[in-house]
Amino acid sequence: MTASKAAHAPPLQGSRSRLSQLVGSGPTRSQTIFGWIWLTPILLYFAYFSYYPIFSALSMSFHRWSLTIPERPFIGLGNYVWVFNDPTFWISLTNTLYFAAVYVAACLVLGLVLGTLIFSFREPFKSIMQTVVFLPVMTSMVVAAQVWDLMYMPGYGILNYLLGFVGLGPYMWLQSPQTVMPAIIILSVWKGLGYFVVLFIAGLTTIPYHLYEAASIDGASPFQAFWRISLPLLTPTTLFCLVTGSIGAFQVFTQVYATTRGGPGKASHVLLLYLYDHGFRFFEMGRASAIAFILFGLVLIVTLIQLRLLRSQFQY
Amino acid sequence: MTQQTRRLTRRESLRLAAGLAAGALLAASCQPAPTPTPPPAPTKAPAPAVPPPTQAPAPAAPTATAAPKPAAPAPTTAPAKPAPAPTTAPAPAAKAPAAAGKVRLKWWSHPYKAWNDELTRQKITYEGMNPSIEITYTVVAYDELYTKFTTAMLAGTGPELMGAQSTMTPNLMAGNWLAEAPKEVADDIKTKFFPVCVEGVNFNGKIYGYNQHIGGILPIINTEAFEAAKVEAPKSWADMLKLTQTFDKQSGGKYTQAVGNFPYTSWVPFVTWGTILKSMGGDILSDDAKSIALNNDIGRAATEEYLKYVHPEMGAENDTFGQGKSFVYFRGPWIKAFLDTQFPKLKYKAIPVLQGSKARIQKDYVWNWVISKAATDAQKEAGWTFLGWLNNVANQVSMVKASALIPTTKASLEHPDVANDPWVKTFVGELAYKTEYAGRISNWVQVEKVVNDELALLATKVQSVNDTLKKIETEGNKLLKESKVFV
Amino acid sequence: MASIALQATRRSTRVSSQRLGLGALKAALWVALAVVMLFPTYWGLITSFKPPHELNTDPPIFWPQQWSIVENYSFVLTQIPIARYYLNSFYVAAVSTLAVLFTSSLAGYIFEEIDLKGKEYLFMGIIATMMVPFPVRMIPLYIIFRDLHLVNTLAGLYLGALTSAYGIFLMRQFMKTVPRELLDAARIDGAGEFSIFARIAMPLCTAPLAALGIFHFMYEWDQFVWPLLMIDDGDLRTLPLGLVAFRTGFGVQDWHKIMAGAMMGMIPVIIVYLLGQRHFVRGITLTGLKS
Repeated sequence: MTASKAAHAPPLQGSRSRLSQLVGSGPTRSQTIFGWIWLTPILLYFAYFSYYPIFSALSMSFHRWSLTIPERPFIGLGNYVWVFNDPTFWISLTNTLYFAAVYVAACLVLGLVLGTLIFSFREPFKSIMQTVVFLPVMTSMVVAAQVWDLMYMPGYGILNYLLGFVGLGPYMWLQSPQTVMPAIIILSVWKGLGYFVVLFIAGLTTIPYHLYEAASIDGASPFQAFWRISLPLLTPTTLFCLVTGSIGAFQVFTQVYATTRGGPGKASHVLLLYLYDHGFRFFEMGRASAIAFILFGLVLIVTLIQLRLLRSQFQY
Repeated sequence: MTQQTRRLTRRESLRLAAGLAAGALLAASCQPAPTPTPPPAPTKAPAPAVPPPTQAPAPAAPTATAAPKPAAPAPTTAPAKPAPAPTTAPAPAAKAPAAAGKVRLKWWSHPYKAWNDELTRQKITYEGMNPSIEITYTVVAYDELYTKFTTAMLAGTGPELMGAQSTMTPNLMAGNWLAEAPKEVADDIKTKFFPVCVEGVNFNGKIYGYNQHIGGILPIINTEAFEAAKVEAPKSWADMLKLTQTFDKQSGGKYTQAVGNFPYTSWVPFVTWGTILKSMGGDILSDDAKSIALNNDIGRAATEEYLKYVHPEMGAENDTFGQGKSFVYFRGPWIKAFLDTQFPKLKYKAIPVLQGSKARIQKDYVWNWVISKAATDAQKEAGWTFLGWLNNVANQVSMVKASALIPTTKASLEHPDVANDPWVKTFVGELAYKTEYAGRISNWVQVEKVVNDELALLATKVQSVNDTLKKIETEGNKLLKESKVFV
Repeated sequence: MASIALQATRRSTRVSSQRLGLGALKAALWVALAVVMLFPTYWGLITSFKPPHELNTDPPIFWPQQWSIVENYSFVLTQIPIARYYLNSFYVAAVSTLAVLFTSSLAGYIFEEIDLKGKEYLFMGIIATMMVPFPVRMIPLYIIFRDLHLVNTLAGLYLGALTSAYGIFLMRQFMKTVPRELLDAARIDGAGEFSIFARIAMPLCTAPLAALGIFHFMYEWDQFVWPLLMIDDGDLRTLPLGLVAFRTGFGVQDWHKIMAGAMMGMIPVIIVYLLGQRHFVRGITLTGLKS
């Protein structure tokens, strides 16, 4: 534990382990008691409000569980087989992976760059830019998606109108299978970027200032300071952004639901929409649950890979 | 710095207090479920004949209506209850205290302001006449209405009265969720209501609700554009095609009729294409509703024809029509309020069904009021009486005036206020064309989605007419194999 | 505030005119970014000021020719008991946010700073709950709340959100940057573990706490499907449920009214954000670590 922790904060490693030795390597009894006393209610809470429903859903996924059939026969892996044989599942999976990859990459890179730049601003520009970038996050997704839908509208939408002045377009945006995914990604990055920027800024505030002073005395350029100090020390933040960003991106739903409902055709069909359709439009809850656990497995694997990669990447 | 720390500590202590309370509460409420293994509802494999186990406890379920201790029970009292999950089939539901005076009914529907206002007004009138009945009318967001329905019904906290489209009604009926109308009510419905409408609630000869209004889809034309072009309103699909060419020439080969914008209005391509198909004598489903055969001459001709009217590059049909860019589009009677407010300068009217080799149209839906099977006898009785009153001639006619929704009883259709309003009259005239209902099969929603998805790919030039029809056939037939058919 | 190295760069920009041009270009880029980020919100806002006949015109109207602010907003204010909805939403979001801030920081601290047996598995178990999509948990969760007699109560809205896997993860990640030497020093002084958490770890985490507070408040404020399932009574509706009344149905939308409602719904979120933003400006630099 101490080793993995130290790995995330290399410059402090020395002092940390020295003091830890003074105190003793393992946790004291009072620490253990404190930990379990506070952790237990939280764990029980998760068991009751999260795991209990999750196991119910897991059980549903092994049953033919349809609103339109009074019986609920056990069918083993039948729902999973059905889902894997459904072409729509594979389309949704491809679209989801495409979305997640582009969205998370764009948000991480832009978020890190903008976050670092905005953090280096003087007041009031810092607060102003941070607010400007964060404003889209504060709008409700349904409303934001609907505004973008209006802006994207071919024929009379503002976006084509404005692009017309620059000699671009007109594009069909959400109305064409070729442009619908990029259009949804643009709207999602616009909406979500501020979240990443704010997290990176919060991460930067926790980096001790004297490290930058020292670097500056050693004659490091701002870029070097970013590369040598900010980036390694932001690893916990980056990891957090990567993991939560990916988990969120794999569950992309509202913006698709509020604009295209997966269309045209199935060009923007994503996994959670596929799940929602089966659960609450076709009332096949067993299949919906199976989809959920396939999605769960996928996200779990991706997360574990991310945790492993990022840990080893910055191991000192 | 010290000041700051102290302030934070004080704030922390507040949070600590809140947290302690919450923690204690949680620890208490967690007691019943330390083992997360047994799922609440689904595992009733061994006893398939029993209706869904979760449904049974409904009347006994401690909802606000029936529980002796209603509303806001302190959460701390919860652990006193035995295990929360009704894994085992619960004891037969005790009859709710019907004798306790008032009969309370929960009634759910979706938002459409003019309609909701009128329904609320009628409800209040009824409660005034019948003090022993209390009805709570709840408006649920349209897109999520069935999400709420499904969840609540499975948990047994669902409403006694609810609205269900004709595509939804067969699902509910097949799942054994709906109360069948008693014989006298059924007879009343069969005699008084317009035959086409009754089909929306008539399954295998049993009646499952009252239909309140029927959605008709008709061509709506821009009358100014027609006057300017000195042409008559089309009477048949052949006329329509000629007009298309005329308007195309006038606008420099630009816009004729917009059927674009698949997102919000995914039913539109289906309705328009389905109507053209039917006008040519084709149909989506076979007569026994067990197969789809479209890749034939009629199917291809209809789909080619449909393609001539589709312009997804124009944007939403509502707006392009309102902006005067398209001369015709297909909508139901309710669109009047929207067009009048957003495009006050627009002059338009609805025209009668276009004639093809066979004059048939694709009907969109019927709106039904149904009663939950889980309701108590007293609630069912009160519910049927109320619904009967709600759909009497006076109420249906005043609803037409308020919302332009087409009524369903023979008497209200003949009522002068309905028969003389030119807008409504045109839509009423459409009822004469015998149509089959989408709601004949239990998974129609899925079939409709297949049709819409493939048509969208056709319209955006991703696939050919042949491929589109072939895909609708394959996908659709796969779905029909697992569907139930009602007559 | 700014790092010295960056300040040095900025100072040197004043020197040469070539750099000045670069500075102007940079400023232009920032302005362009701001315009792109603000435009959709501007469009939503201006839509809420328009009369219906200026909504979907071709070409688009960027500045209303006829203002209809009073009509649109008074419609929203009079058609639904909006004060009541505000209050319900705020109550639910505030209770949940306070609880989440407390439980998340505490659990984050314990997971990061105390060696408990098997805690990594427990931690992964908590994170994993984020990966199961909510729609499939909805029905079983609803049944739990039915059995707790909490359907159709406001308690039913926040009781399921007193802690957050997301929050625990976030706080743990930020606890990683708290120097252990400070904690250990306090331990040597004989401070209790809770006071170390409350007096040393927490003040160092104001920025992440503010971020979590803002995110969670927004998340709860914006909740739609769960309140939709839980709440039947008109009096208990939260704001997003109440605003549904302006959707006319049948695929036709009164955009000006919907946007007026949406803009009013944004106000509390902006306030919470502005309250929290102070904590980003202040950072570890104030709490000091110069020893």
